[in-house]
Amino acid sequence: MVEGTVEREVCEDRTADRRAFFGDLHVHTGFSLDASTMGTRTHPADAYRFAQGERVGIQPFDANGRPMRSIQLERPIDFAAVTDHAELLGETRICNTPGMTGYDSIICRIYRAWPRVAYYWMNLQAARGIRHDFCGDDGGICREAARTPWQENREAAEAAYDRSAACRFTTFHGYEWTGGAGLGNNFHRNVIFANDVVPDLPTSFIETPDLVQFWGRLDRECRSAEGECDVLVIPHNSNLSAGRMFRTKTEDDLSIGRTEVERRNAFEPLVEIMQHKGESECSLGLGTRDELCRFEKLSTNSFGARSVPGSSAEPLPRQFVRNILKEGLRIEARLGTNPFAFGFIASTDTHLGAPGLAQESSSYPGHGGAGKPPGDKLVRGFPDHIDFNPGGLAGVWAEENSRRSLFAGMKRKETFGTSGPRIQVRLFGGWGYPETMCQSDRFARAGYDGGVPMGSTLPPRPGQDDPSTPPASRAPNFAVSAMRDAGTTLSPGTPLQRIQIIKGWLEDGKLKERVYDVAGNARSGAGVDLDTCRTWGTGFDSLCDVWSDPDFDAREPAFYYARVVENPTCRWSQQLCIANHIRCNDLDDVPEGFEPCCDENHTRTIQERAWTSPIWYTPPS
Amino acid sequence: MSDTAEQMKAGPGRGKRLIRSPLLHFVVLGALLYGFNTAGRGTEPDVLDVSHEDMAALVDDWTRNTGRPPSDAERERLIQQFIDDELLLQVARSLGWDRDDPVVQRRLIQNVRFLDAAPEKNDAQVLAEAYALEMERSDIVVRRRLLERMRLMVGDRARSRTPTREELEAYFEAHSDDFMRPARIRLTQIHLSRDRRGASLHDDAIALVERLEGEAIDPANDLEAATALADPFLLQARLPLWSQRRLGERLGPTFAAAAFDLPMERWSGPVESSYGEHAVYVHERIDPVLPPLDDVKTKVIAELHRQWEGEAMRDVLRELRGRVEVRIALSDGSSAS
Repeated sequence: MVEGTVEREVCEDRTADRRAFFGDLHVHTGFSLDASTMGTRTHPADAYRFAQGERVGIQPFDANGRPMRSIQLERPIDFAAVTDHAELLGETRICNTPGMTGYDSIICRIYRAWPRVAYYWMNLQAARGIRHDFCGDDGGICREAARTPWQENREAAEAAYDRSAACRFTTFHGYEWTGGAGLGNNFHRNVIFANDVVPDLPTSFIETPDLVQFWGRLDRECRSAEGECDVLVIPHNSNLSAGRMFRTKTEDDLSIGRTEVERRNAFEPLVEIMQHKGESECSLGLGTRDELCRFEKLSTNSFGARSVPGSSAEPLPRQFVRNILKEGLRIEARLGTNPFAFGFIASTDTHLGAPGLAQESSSYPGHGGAGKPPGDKLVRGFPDHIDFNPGGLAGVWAEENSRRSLFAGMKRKETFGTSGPRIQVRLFGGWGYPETMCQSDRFARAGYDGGVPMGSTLPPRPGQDDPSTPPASRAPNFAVSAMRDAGTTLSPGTPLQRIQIIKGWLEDGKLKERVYDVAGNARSGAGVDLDTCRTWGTGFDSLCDVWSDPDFDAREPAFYYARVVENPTCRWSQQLCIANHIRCNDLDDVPEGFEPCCDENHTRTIQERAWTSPIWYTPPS
Repeated sequence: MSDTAEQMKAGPGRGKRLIRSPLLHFVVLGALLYGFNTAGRGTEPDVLDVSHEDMAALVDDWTRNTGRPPSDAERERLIQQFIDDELLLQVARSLGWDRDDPVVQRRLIQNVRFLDAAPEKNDAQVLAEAYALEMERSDIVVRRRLLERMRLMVGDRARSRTPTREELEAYFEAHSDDFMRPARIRLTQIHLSRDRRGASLHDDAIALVERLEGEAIDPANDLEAATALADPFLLQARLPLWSQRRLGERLGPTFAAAAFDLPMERWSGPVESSYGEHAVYVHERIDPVLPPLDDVKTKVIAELHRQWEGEAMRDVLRELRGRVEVRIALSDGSSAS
């Protein structure tokens, strides 16, 4: 079989009914300017080694450049994409390479002498779409300088990809387009390519700051170009976008046009719902009364608001994916295309080059990036901002661990995100799944045969034009099944608490939502001892249900997704506090660096979770 | 370069080794000898002293960074690393890098301007002051830069050479364990749920195995008869050929370890997993096997390059240690070589 330009074997354990694969599609290494100013020296090849279970040294480095810490995954992941920032890729290389034009520029000198200053200044300039003087009049010097790191990234991805029938590990070529507006209002996106056929250079926000043009360029340079190039674009951190990530209006306050709607739909099948810098599903009080939306929330609405005192930091409803899925229904009713028909994945956004390092742990080293920068010294205390977290994982249902199979899974949105654990969850939607489906050994086969998997739109209702169809058979039903993380020798995994189905719909022009508990038990009384992190109470190894929508109205467009929730455990921050014997009875006794342990807003527990991509219902026109 | 060539001719044993080992960096050694043998820059001593102060600084540094003093073994390792670094620094200096490296110069100029803001002095004057103060010897950034350049130079040669087929085969053979495909088994599992069965799980599972065995249910031909006895489970009953790692990822490490000890072609168990207990029928077992070299060639090349880099550095260090007398200060004030 040829994939891109290269022959590969079919995987030996290819499974027609598909299996869940876990990976990380958001990874930065020392090639990214921000990561490099934090002392990250890992290269893409190191990141791919780490993802496959090798031990890798990280900052701080001793006087002679040897790493003083090392990290290793207890369980390798199945796939990864290194997505270094396209912006400043060339600049970072120039400032680190004596002899290159620009190496002696004032900016590069600042970069080398005061990396933290350069981090802010260079990123700010890039976000304003400005190249530094040393890049030449048209920025050409820096654009050209990006060629080598882009080439090295691609070589690393090719070398680490297992094309044999063993199918141990898959890589994707990729980069991040780091779009922003105002004070760090983020509309960053990761660009993931299907195979080894990719454009000569990544497209950066500096040259192509307009989203519609950006998609147009990807179309020209990839999808419509000669050869096998294909690409998808994954927005992330809408929680820091101050509403910019998913716009429905242009700057002139006009509704966005058909081109933008169609391009979004064509290029952006997925959204990253959770990562190191918080979760973007929903936020209590912003369009929802769902208590579980109090999960890994940041206190500000943009990057800028964290560092600029006095700026407005109030989170907005439009930052959260659930609200945007609802908004998509409204636009689809108007224009016939849903620009926000997102499936879900999660990733880490590590800036240490540590893909898959998503486990809550007292030894979590922080992921750097916009988080707390790892410095030159080992610091006692918190390795990251307390409201940041180790990030999540991307789950893809695919026949085999190959680029072709995984990429197809991503395009059809048969994906899910987790907040770190390897929960497996399947969701199927149809018009007549039998109640007994959960009793069957052929859950997946029955799911595909009788309806559609997560990420799809329900087929037309059988007999929808026949008024004699009895009302009871009119509602769609959903088969959902989840298995808890199987665990490892050191971390046995946590039982599940429940599965929920979240429905959003458009009713008489109003957007509504409702959360249904469909399996498990929210009141099982399971909990965790905050002094020891030992858990108590019961939970479930697996959960399954066939659920029919009791409130269905065939005239109303709707979406449904499943959320699988674990029993409570200790959050990484609490594990850190306990490992360091922090007691909050006497605040004067709390050692320096551990003050956040005793902050009244410190969230000590976490209910880890998984989100499936939605299934949509579209009424007949 | 001519010095290197002469040296190779002079020592037949060493010369042979150098020719056989393309990894050894001729330029490094040549420069080293040049530095030691010529009068002009022959200021490098062929003695390396590790003083009490050096050792105290190493221990201090370690303690500051880790929050505890080093153990004896760690202290010894610190000293040996320090010696390696010093030897490499001597080479870097004899190559003149401490004088002409742009990063070093920039750093030194920056340092002096920071200490002495005399804007009338030009860069050359400032640099001269820095060298007069021997700032290039103590500055941490300069040290790091010189060591980094040494490592790059030694490693570059190793990395840039494409291995021959013979070298690939030799490496592949010598490290076949790293490239082995692990043992794999293909099995059918009939699952009973811990959630559902609670305290009766184990007894039920024993009864399940007995029944499957007693009725001689053949999962290859009559899977339905077997799965009819199972509790609902998201994972299919018939699993593909999987290694212990893959099985562990799906069913937990306990199950994966136990499954590889089961007899073939009969029902056995119950086997405990993260989800309950299982009756298991192993259909096929493939012992660990070495894939053809071409399947793993990119990985072999990458590993070989990493090995070469390491060897190149070790060769250089061994060579240097053979030429320089290292004296470590003892607690009684004398020195040991």
